Amino acid sequence: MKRMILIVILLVIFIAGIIYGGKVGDFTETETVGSVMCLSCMGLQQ
Amino acid sequence: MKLKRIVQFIASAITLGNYPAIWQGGIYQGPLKQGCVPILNCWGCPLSLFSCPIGALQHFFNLHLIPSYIAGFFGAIGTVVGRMACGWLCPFGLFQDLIYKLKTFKMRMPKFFSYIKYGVLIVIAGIIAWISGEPWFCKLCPAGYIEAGIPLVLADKTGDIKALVGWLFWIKMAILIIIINFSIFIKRFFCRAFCPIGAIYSIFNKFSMFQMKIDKEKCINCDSCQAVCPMHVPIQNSPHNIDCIRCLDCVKKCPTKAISYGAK
Repeated sequence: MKRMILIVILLVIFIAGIIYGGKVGDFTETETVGSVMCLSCMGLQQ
Repeated sequence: MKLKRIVQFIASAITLGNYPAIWQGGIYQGPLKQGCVPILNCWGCPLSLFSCPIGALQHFFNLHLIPSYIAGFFGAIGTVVGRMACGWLCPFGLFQDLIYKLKTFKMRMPKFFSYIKYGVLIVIAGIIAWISGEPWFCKLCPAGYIEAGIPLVLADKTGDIKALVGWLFWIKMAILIIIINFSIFIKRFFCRAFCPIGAIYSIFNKFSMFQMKIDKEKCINCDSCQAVCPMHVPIQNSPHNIDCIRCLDCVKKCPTKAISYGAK
């Protein structure tokens, strides 16, 4: 029972983190950086 | 074919599902990139439809921002299923599973190697990314090299990309060759020793909603579960092991049905 309560509390915190992240623009930031071909990450540009 | 293998192939086909890139080139740019897949997946891969969570984590560290979205994402998945995504969804895990099938002698990985991944997560993907402003795990990632680095160079018709090949490219190649070589002899060598995503999920294995359970009265200590385990986990002694990827191969293999699973 204690473990289930801990799981529920953690889930609420983590989902709140996702929602908060979305509100402060994390989704857009992730899309922006994910849409750029990072050549240096592939060892193609020093 | 086993259900797990089918799911692994389907998950890989969806994760790397930007098929128009094969004839059009470039990478996918669209709203799906707002979402991360819960596994290692190079977002620089022309076929990749989604973002890499460890790449995104480093990006926020590079900008000295708190990665609320990514932390919440890892935490929510880890809390529900622990390390299960590694076993069922990861294309690089599937790749290692397949090359381990090569008929040759096999080796065991020293136990302390399992803790290297925490160093990779904290030092390379955390501290160095924060200080240097560069995603250094991406620069060394063998999955990124096989998914993005090699295809981009091979598909380059103009020679522009080939001209950019430098020392880091060859270091990445050396890392990939080492990982592939060891993965032939050692089960899921990269996942067990170096994967920072596996390191994050492994923290949740002890108390996640999804749990493995051993019936000690039924267990005859035959070790067939450990023999079939792709991570070589002694599940009969430690059902919450940090390296258990909940692939459930052991459940099917157990001759006495001593291993069960579920939300416990």
